[in-house]
Amino acid sequence: MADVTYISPEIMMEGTLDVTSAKGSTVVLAGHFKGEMRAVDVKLETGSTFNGKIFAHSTEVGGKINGDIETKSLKLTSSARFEGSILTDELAIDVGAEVSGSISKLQKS
Amino acid sequence: MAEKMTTIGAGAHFKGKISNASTIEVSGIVEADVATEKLTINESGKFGGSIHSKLVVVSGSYDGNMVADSVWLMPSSRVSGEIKYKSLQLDRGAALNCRVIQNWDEKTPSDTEASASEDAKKIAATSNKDNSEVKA
Repeated sequence: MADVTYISPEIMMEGTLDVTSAKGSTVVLAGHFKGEMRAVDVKLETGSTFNGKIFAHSTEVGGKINGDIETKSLKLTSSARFEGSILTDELAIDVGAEVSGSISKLQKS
Repeated sequence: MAEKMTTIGAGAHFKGKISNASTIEVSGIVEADVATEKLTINESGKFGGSIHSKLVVVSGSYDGNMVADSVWLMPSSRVSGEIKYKSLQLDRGAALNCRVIQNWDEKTPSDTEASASEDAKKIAATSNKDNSEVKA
């Protein structure tokens, strides 16, 4: 549990969160975040809001996002509200998700 | 996982601002100004910045201005900066390199000057605010 970063529902965080070290790599956001987030696994729960950029390996979104996501695999669940640009290789969108913006494949490096 | 508890994991590095928090546990690195009810800095945790909290438990390292009702410094803690507290527990082994101010009751010599002490508190409070704003 100590290596999971959990942001609880009422909280507002503003800034940069970097969770890419070997010790821990998962972020669960239930609250509100503004800024830049880097992690391996990111989960934005239903009710969460995010403003900014996400760089991750896998991302699951159930909240409201305004911004950009760059991730290898992305899942937008039915409660997701997304506005911005998506860069991903694997994409799943559940029925009910609202998505507006651009979707493209990750560039091969 | 307690629902109202925010955890900054061991591999995480956060820089910025945290507001509207109730309980925060830090195992990673945080550079932020925080107002909360309870803040725990675990052994692997590092915290830099100002803290306003009812209870602060430090096992890791801390640098900054802390204003808290209760402060508990565990044996593995390393603290620098300033602590303003009402009650403090300092365990053997804690490394303390900071200014420590007890403000449980800032009594003036006579009770008639109680209001003056209130003013002093206010001034102290505003100057704290200024400090934290400069840091932010």
